[in-house]
Amino acid sequence: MLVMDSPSANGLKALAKTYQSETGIEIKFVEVPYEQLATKVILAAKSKQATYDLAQVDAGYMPQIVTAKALAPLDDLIAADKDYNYDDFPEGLKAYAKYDGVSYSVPLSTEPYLQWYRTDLYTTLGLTPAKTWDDALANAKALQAAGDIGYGGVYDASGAAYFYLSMLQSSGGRLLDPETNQPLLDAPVAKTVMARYLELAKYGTPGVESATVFDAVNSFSQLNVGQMILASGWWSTVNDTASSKSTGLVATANTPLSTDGPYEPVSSLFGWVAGISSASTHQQAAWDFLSWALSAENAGAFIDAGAPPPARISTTSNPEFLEKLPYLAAAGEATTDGLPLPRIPELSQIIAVISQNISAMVTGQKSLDDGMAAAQDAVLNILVQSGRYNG
Amino acid sequence: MTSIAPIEAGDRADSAIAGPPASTVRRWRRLEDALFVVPTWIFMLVVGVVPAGLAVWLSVTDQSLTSGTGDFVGLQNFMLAVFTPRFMGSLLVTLVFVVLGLIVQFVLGYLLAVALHRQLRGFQIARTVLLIPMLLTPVVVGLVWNFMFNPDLGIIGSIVSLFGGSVNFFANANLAIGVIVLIDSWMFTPFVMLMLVAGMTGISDDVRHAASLDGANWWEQTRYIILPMLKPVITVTLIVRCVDIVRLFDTIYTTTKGGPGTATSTVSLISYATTFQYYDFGQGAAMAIALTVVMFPVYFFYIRMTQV
Amino acid sequence: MSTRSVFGTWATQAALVIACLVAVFPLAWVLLTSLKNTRDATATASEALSFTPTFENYVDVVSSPGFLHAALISALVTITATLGVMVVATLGGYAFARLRFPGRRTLASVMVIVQVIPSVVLVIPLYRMVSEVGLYDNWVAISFIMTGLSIPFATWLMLAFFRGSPIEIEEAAFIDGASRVQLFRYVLVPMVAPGIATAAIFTAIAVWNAFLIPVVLGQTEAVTLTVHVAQFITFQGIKWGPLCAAAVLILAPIVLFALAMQRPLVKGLTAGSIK
Repeated sequence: MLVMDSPSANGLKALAKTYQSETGIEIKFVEVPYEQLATKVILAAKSKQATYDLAQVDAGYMPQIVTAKALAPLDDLIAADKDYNYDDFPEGLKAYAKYDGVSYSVPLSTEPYLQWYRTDLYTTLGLTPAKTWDDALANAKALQAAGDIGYGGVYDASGAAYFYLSMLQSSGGRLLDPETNQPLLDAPVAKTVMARYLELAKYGTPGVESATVFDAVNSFSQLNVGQMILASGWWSTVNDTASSKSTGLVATANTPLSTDGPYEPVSSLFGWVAGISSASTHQQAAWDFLSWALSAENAGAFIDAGAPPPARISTTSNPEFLEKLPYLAAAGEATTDGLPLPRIPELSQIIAVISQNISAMVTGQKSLDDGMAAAQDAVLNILVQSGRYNG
Repeated sequence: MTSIAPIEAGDRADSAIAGPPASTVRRWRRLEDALFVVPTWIFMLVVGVVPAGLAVWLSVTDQSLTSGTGDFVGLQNFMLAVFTPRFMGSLLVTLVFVVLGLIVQFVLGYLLAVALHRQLRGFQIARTVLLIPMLLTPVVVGLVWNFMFNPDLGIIGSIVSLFGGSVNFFANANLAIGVIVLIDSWMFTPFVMLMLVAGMTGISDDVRHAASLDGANWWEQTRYIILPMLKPVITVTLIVRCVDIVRLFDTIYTTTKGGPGTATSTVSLISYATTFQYYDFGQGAAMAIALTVVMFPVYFFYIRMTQV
Repeated sequence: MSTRSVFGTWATQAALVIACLVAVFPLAWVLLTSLKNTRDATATASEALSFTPTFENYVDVVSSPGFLHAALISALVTITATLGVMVVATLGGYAFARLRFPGRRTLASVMVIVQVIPSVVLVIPLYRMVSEVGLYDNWVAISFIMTGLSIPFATWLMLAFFRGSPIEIEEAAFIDGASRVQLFRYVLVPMVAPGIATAAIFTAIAVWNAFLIPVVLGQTEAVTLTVHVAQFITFQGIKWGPLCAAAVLILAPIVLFALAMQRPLVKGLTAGSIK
C-alpha cells in the first residue's frame, strides 16, 4: 500500500499488524512524500504495472488520479460487502469519495479545516475563539501585543492556496462558479479575502512568508502561536507528548465565518480517501483489508493509533470517541455543511499557480492587484486549455 | 557531478579533427575496430538518441493526462507552454543563476587557485578538504542547506540575529536566488579552483619572473600574462559550469522548490512540474526541448572543443 | 618577487583555512544535529550546543526497513552500473585513443550531447520506454540508464589515460604475435588500471548521487537512498534528527572515498583539459 507518513497511515499500519496476526496476510507499506503521492500513483497506472494494490490519496487529487485511470471502481465491492455498511456514512461523505457518480475510493479520514487555538494564552488574555474573520484578526492583534504570535499561516509557493481558498469559502466566496466553472478570483470578495490573508502574515512567526503547512504545524507545536486554521487530522501530531510543547493546551472551534461575498460562508472539507489500483491483481484481498480496517468495529482501534477516523455516523455520534477527540463533532457537522474545493482534475495545477502568486504577493514581488490578476489569468488559462470552462 | 569531455586546450582548429596517432595498430581492419564501440553505441542509442527523439515526438503530440489523445498537434504545445511569460521568466531565472554562479565561482576559484598554487605547507590537506563538497549528493546537500537556512531553526538565521537582524532567506526573491547560487558555489568553486591550478602548473615560473623584473605589479601580471595564458582552461571550465548550472535541479528541488513566487523556478523545475505534477507530458517535453534549443550554441561549442 | 610580495604567506594560508572551514561547516553541523533527539534538534540554533548526544537517530534510521532496503537498492545500482561502465568505457576509450573506426565523430558528438543535455529532457521518454518493456519500478532499469549516462565521462577519462600510456609497448606485443584479445587482456588493461579505477570512483559517486532518474523510475521496490531521504519531510513535520543521521550515512562513503583517493580524483577531474 502506498501511503504518506501521516496520522492516517499510522492508524492503518497499526491495524495491519492486527490483521496479519488474525488472517496471516501481510500488508507492506511504502511511504511516499506528499507531493509525490499523486505522481507515483499516476505513473504506476500509466506504466500498467501493479506496483501497489492500495493507495492513500488526497481526496482533492482523486479526480485527477481517476482521470488517469489509476483507480478501480469500487461500487460492486462496496455493495457486496454487508459488514462494511456503507449506509453508515453521510451522503456528503460518500459523494466526497466519488467522481462522476462512481465510487473510486472510500473515506479514510474526514478532516475539515478547523480553528485551532491555545487555551492557556486565550485564558490569560481573556480572548474567545473567533466567530468571524474580523474576530480572528482582532485576536491576532491582541496576541501579538502580548508578545505571542498572533496567527500561524501558510504562505509557501506550493500549498498556500489551500488555506486561502478555505478562507475564501468561509467568507462567502468561491474559486469557481458552481454552474459554469468560471474562475471567480476577479470578484471583489476574492480580493478582500486575499488582503486579509496577507494581513494575517504580519502576525505570524518570523519565517511565516515561506512557511509550509509543516512549518506552521511545527511552530504551533513548539512556539506560542495563538491560533491557526488547520485540518483536524493533525490532532495527534500537535498533541504528541514526545515532540510537542503544546500538548493539552490546544482546543478547536469551527472556522470563522464572514459574509463578504454572495455565497453562503462554509467551512472547507478535506481528507484522505483510500483506493485500489486498477492494475492490482489482488483487488478483492485489498478490499477485504480496507473494509475491515475502516469498519465501525475498528474505529476505536483506529483512534487509539492516533488516526483521524472516517466520519461514520456511528463514530461521530459515539460519546466515548467524542471525549477522546473533541473535534469529532465538528468533523461530523462538516460532512453535511462543509464544502470541498472544486472536484476537478485540474485542481493541483490551480493550487500551484495560486500558491505561487500568494508567495509572490506576501514577499512583495507582486502587488495585491497584480497578484490577483495574474492568479485569475492563470486559472482561466488552465480551465480553458483543458476545456473545463469555455467562456 | 561535473561533466567534462577531453578538451583541446589550444586554439588550433586542426586539433579538432585530429585522429589517433599513426601506428602499426592501423593495420587492423576498420570495421573490426568498430566492434570496440558497439557497447557504447548501444547505450548511447538507448539512453540518448531514442529518448531524445521520443521527447521531440512527445512535444508535438497531445499528451495531456486529462484530455490527451496522443494526436499530432504540431507546435501547439510550444505555443501553450514555451511562448509564455512563465517559460520566459524561468529562462531568465536560469540565466541569472548561470551569470551569478560563474562570476562568484570564477573570482573565488581564481583567488583560491592562486593561494593553492603557491604550495605552502599544508596545501595538500586544503586540496583534499576542498575536493569534498563537489562529490557530495546534491539532494542531500540541498536538504542540509535547507536546514541551515530554516527561518526558525537554522544556524544562519541565528548568526544573522547576533548582529541584530532577522531575515528569512526563503521569503525574499533576491536572497532565495542568493541561497541557490551560494549552494552551487559552495559545491563547485573548488572545481574551478582545481582546474585553474592545473592550468597554472603549465605556466612556467620564468614567464612570471621575467614580468616581475620588468616592474609589472601583481594585477598587471595577472591581467596581461596569467589570465591570457589561462584562457583555454578558463573557457573550458566556465563552459562546463554553465552547462551544469543550466541542468541544476536537485538542490533547488530540495530547498526553495522554485519559490518565493517563481523567483527560483528554472526551466528544469517548471518542466518537471508540468510533466510530473500537472501530467502534461507534451508541454513538459516542449519546455525541455526548447531549453535544449536555446542551449544548442553552447553544446555545439562544447562538441567543437572536444579533442576526439 | 612575484605574487609573494602581494599576498603574505599567512594571508594565503588564512584564506585556505577559511575556505576549508566553509567547506566543512555544513557537514559538521549535520553531524552535530544527527546526534540530537527530536526536541533538541528542533530547538532554536542559539541552544545548539546544549544537548546530550544520542545515537537514537541512527538506531531509528538503520532499524527502519525502508532505509535498509533503499541502501541495498542503491548499492546494487551503484555496483552494477560501475562494473558496466568500467567495461564499456575501457573498450570505448581504447577505440577513441588508438583506432580509426567509422563514425567516430558522430559517436563522440552523441556522447557529448548525452553528457550535457538536461536530465528533464530524457527522463520523460525514458519513463515511457521503461514502462513499455515492463521494467518500471525495477532497479535493473535504473542501473542500465545510469550506466548509459555515465559512459561518456568515463570514456573520456579512459581516452586520456590511453593517450598518456606509451604506444610502443602495444606495438612490441603486436609484433610478438599477440592476438587482439591477449593484447587487451595482458598488456593494455594492466597498463591503464589506475585509469579504470579512477573512472570507477567517479561513476560510483555519480550513480550513488543520482536523484531525478530514480525518483521517476522507481516506486515501491526500486527506491534508492536519495529518493528515500526526501521522505523525511513528512506530513508530521520535518524529522531533522533522523534526516541528518541519514544524510551522514549517505555522505560518509563519499567523504571517505575523497579522503582516501584524492590524488586520482584531482587527476580525473582535470584530465584531458590540460596538456
